[in-house]
Formats: sequence, C-alpha cells, structure tokens
Amino acid sequence: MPGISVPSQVSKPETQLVVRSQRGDTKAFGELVRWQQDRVFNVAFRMTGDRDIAADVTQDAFLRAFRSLPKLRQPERFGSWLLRIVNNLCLDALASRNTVSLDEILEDGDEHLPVSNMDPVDRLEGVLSDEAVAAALQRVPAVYRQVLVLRHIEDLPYEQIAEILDIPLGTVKTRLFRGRDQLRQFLMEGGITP
Amino acid sequence: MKCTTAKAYIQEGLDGRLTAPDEAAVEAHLLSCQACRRYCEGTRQSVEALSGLPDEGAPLDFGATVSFQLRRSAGGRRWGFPVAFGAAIAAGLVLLMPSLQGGFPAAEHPQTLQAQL
Repeated sequence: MPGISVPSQVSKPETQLVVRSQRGDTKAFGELVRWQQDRVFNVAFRMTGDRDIAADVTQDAFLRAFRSLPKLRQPERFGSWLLRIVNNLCLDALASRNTVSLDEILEDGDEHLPVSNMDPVDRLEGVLSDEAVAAALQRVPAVYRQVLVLRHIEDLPYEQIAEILDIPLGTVKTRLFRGRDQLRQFLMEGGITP
Repeated sequence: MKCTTAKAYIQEGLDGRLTAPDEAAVEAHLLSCQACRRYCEGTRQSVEALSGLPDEGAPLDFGATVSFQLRRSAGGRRWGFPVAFGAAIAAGLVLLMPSLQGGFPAAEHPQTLQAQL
C-alpha cells in the first residue's frame, strides 16, 4: 500500500497484526479488536461514566482506526494511537451529551452528580466504594480526568500520556496533580477521605 | 520546607519520582505538619481507590458488532470500483445509443435550434 512505512522487523505479535491490518487484512484487524476491546471500553467508560456511550465510542473508535490505519506510520504505536482516537471521541460524546462546547467539557466536571452515593455504614468505616469513587471521578473536569484515567486506570507512564494527548510532559504532571487534588476534594466533601 | 513544596513532593512521590533526599525532607515536614499529613493520606487514598476500580469489559456482542461493521465497510470499498465502473459503462451506452441510430434529433441540437430561430 503506498505511503505506509512497514518496518522490516516486527517483534511483537500485536505489531504484526497491525501491519497485516494495514494491508487490508480484516481478519487480523478483528483480532486486534478482540485484543483491545475491553481496554478501550474501560477507558471510554471511565471517561464518560456511561456504558451505552462507552460502547458507541468504542465501536466508533475501531471503525475510525480501521479506516485511518494506512496513515499510521509506526505500527508499534498502535495502542497509543488508538487511545488518542478514543479520548477525542469521548470528548465529542461528552460535548454532544451535554450540548456544550468542547472547551466547557474540558474545563468543567459534571456538577449534577451527587457528592457521594456511598453507603452510610461504609462511610463511617472509612471504606471507599467503587460507586463513590466513580461518581467523584465524573465530577473532575475532563481535561484532568483524561490524565487520571490514563495514569491510574491504564497505569501508563507520563511519557506515553503526553504522546496520547499530544501535550508536553510538564502539562501531564500539572493536570495529573490538579486532577488528584480535585478527586481528593470531591471524596473529602462526601466525607470519604481525610 | 513550605507546605506548597511538600504537596508537590507528595504528588511526585505517588508516582515514585521522588529522590531519596527529597523523600526524607518530606517525611520530616510531615512529622510537624498535620495539614500536609492529611493531604498526603487523602491523596494517597484517592489514588489507591481510583487504581482499584474494577475493569469494565465491552458488551458480550461487541466483537460481532464491530466485525459486521468492518465487513460492511470493507465490502463497500471492494465493490465500490466495479459498481461505479459498471454504472459508467451503462450510462455511456445509453448516451451512445441515439448516435448509433443516426444521431440526436436535429431539433435537440443547440446550433440547429439557433438556426431555426
């Protein structure tokens, strides 16, 4: 296929799947989907807080990836590239759900969510329920939430987050620190953390 | 150490990016600052809770849905050219038919129409 730089040596099996997909092998791409679908869905779900939206975003992300795959010059970076598509689609989905601009989505969290839907007994015992943490995460503005999800749910290093979001390393740190601060404050408001 | 510096170090420490001397300095500060101790504990708990959220998997029929969409997408691309090519040939033949039968009727030719006027 013209314009595609295919490395002479590919070490990882997934990279080989990417290269085969770039040559139009839909079966190989199907394997890539199976390999990445849960990861992509989880990121989309934690970003949007909605299973239906996450499913739509995940499906759209794979279809867009398939169409744009010939443009991917470094097949070994497929994972980061796919997560960039997912993140952009999540922001679009959040903007259209709330009928607000992308800038507002980036800067504002979902203020309509409850501070805490934690069981009172759990709160007394200082136990963090998954629901309370997930709700607090949705209140964090998307610009910080993106970094929190990639760092603490996907367990990615700063460098890869910078690559995915196309931002400087210093910005990753700033957003991460502010995001953690906000998450802590929201959990604290609910009486969950000290 | 000021509290703002301590908080920045605490954040760095959560990612294991703190040097040993800085870590010792933060620990010394925490011994004497209750507000930073609370900040440290709260941030650490928040991060642990976030990292501990269960992974949510894609819907069971997800792979099949994407495969269907992919086949449709790939099918459209594969058949796009022959269908368009066939349609062009058919259109060409239709346009050519009157010529083969002796050309367009004289009244429909622009120059002839002008001459008639």
